[in-house]
Amino acid sequence: MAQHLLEVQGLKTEFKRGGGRIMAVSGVDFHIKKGEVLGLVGESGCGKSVTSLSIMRLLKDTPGRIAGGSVRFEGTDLTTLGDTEMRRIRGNDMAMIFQEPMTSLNPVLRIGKQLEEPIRIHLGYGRKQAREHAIHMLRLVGIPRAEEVIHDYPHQLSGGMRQRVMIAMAMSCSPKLLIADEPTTALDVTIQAQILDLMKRLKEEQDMGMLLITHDLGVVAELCDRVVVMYAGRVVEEAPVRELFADPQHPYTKGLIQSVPKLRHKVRRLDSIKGNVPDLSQMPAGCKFAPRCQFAMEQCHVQEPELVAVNGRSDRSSRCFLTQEPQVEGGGEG
Amino acid sequence: MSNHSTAEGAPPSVAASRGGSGSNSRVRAFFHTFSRQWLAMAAACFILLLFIIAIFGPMMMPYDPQAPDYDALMEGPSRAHWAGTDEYGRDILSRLIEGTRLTLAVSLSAVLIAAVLGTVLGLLSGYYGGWLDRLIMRGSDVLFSFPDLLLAIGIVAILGPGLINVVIAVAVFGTPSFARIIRSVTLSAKETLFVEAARSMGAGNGRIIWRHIFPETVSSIIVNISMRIGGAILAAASLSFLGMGAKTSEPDWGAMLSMGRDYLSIAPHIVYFPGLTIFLAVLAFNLVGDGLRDALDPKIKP
Repeated sequence: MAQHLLEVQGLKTEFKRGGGRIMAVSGVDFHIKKGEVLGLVGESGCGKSVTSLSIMRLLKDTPGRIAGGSVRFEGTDLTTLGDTEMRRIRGNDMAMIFQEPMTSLNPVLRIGKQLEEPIRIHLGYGRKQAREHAIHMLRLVGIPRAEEVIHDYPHQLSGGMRQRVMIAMAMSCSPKLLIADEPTTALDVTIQAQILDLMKRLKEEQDMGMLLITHDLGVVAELCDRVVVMYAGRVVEEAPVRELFADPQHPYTKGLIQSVPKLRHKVRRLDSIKGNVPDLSQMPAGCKFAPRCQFAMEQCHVQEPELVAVNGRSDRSSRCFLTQEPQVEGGGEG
Repeated sequence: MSNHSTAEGAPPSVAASRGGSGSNSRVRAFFHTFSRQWLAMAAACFILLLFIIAIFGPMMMPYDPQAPDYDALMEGPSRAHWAGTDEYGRDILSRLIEGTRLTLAVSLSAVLIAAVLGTVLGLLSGYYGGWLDRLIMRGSDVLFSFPDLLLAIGIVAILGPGLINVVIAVAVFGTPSFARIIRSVTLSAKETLFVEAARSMGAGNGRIIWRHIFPETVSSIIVNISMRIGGAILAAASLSFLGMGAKTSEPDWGAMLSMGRDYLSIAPHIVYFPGLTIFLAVLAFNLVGDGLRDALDPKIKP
């Protein structure tokens, strides 16, 4: 098997709450190849962001911890690395963009100073060299008058500009993997398109892998090569992006796609998935989606289906009894 | 790339705020808010005056503060001695001027030591949490459980009298308040997204504390310093009054008060002037502290 850029296997992340522990991510598997964009899709609270924080090992300030599984980045298991080694990877080989560009920049530091920080940490540049590189990065993300903007404070920039700065910062050490946690959610629609274009262009220029976390299927269709759909801390479906939209397997994915308004069809009422993501402390016994699923069978409430390849293909899988009828009792290979 | 750059461009506010004013706007906004509080402004002027007196004191003194004049013992205020003379005939005004330097030096250094210690402890406590946090916070709880002055008296009793020991005592009882305040600011600052973003860029703990969290705490530190100086002046004067600080020969305000007490019935002016000076200095620092807090704390902005 060819080595993947990132390989997440059986990742489990748990949070302490009250006296007990709650599994926010329970056994997630996926991988990202070099230069590939993987979309991680799901409703709020399904564990997308926790997954990304687990990969970056940024759970330290939360009550959460990785309880099991492995995160292999170019063959090294990140879950076993020490803090110092992990710090060398963060921002250098692996960088992250956050959802809120308004608050992810330090309000009391000038743009230049913040931008130079990872450059000086990881590339070991001197003051002057770092400044030049920072200006270069700002130009790369399409910020006009970069020489002046580096002297600005974050509050002097608009949300779109700040997200560009964040992207410039994340890209400054030419990471091999970029984790983008809802990078466009907080932005205006017109700016969203620009940021997506920018990310697409940078990804192609730098040939980096990208994990795009979003609940916006439009963004997925725009940018991703493959998609992993998460529900209640589990992967429920994995598919190449075109097939996911053309032929979704899991009822949850179907519901997600149906709840997006389409231009050509005239519909009076938008479809939606009834109910909410179940409370992590009160998970249903069987399939976690069963209580909201319109196809739920008796079996679904008792036993949780495994994630099984669809039609024997390696790049498509689904966690639903309906898509694995021939081998209901077998339960797949786990 | 140009198609990207022209698409969004700079919003008008960015263009408008550039041109030199950008970096100073926060400072200017602060001065604007602060200068509208006339009481705090007046107090700040008085403090400025105290500092000028402390620096240029020797040039302003009408008499040598140590030189006795046995022809003018315990004289009331007159044209020759504006604030009168003490029991050795020394000019009280000159002694007050000399004492300004002493008082400011003692209280400022004590508060600054407390600020540095408390800030370091608060940052460590809030950032790392766990056993370190518990240790530091329980330590400050212990110090907090003593009435302020009693603790200082205890420390001086152990170390022995003297101004240096007064500084140490006042610094020790000031430290926990800084540690607590800075800890709480740190706790909220370390949850901010920009700290997480910095960590995701590979910044280490030291860098995050110093570059990203410490600047958040500066305004609280400034406010608390100004609030604490008044208390420190009072504490230092009290210790000297009790004979645990400055020697009675030294022109310390508290020591002068203590000396004058014996002659309260026959020469009350010996007590009045040092007492009034202490009162005004403490009041001024407290008013400035309140003013700074109002100007710097975004939560109670009018």
